[in-house]
Amino acid sequence: MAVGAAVHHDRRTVTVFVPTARASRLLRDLASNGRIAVGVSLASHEAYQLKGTYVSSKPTDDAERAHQEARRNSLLASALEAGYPEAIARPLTMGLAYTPGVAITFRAEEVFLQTPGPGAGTLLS
Amino acid sequence: MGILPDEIKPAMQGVIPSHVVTCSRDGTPNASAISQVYYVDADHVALSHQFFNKTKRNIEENPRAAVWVISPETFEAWDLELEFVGSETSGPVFEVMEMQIEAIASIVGMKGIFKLRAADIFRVTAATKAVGERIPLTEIRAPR
Repeated sequence: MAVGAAVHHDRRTVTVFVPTARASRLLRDLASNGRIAVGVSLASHEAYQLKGTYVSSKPTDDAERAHQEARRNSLLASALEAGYPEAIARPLTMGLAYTPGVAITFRAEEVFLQTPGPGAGTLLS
Repeated sequence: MGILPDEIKPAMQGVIPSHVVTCSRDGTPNASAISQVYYVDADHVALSHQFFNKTKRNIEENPRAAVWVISPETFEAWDLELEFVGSETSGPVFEVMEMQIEAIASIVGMKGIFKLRAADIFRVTAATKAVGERIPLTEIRAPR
């Protein structure tokens, strides 16, 4: 489970932040295959999937950790707004460990809609 | 004794969505949220086949899947590794899953959108508690 992501200025390169505990197998797979799929979703069920090619990885830095903290807080707000009770929303979101972390950068090549419904799976770009 | 511990059962009630990852024959991964991973027995789970056609196609090409589930009680997460066994469109597992999917849909405002097409049965080949990506409940501060 990644905590936060950043889209670069070219709007094609994306960095996703993964806890180090989760990253070792992921990086091994990326080294052998190079293909990546990342699901992103809001608590409202609006969801997308990015598919692309692995570029690089490095330990997260202070600025990235600050970004992750902000994203975690906004995820909590989003979950509460979507109607999740506090007893679920807070531990679910604030329980996401993000440090130490690894910043995994990839080139996004396809974006799919994944919001539940008849349009799920549609290639958007 | 089966692979799935009893403590994993709350993670399979559909309270918090799970995630499933599959891979096509050419090695392209696909990640998708799923309403529920249904506990069949200590060695088998069922995934609800609703919309995720790419997942279904991948399973036909490559019958392995990885699943992430999280308990709404302890907020501990598990990784499951699965192998596809077969699809059921009737019978007790399908009927219970259909009822639960309808209940979940009603709760999350997706009634009429969530519809169970099949219960896809998988054998669990590994179940690993995800260590290090969750902060223990006792360390999460309540709001001031």
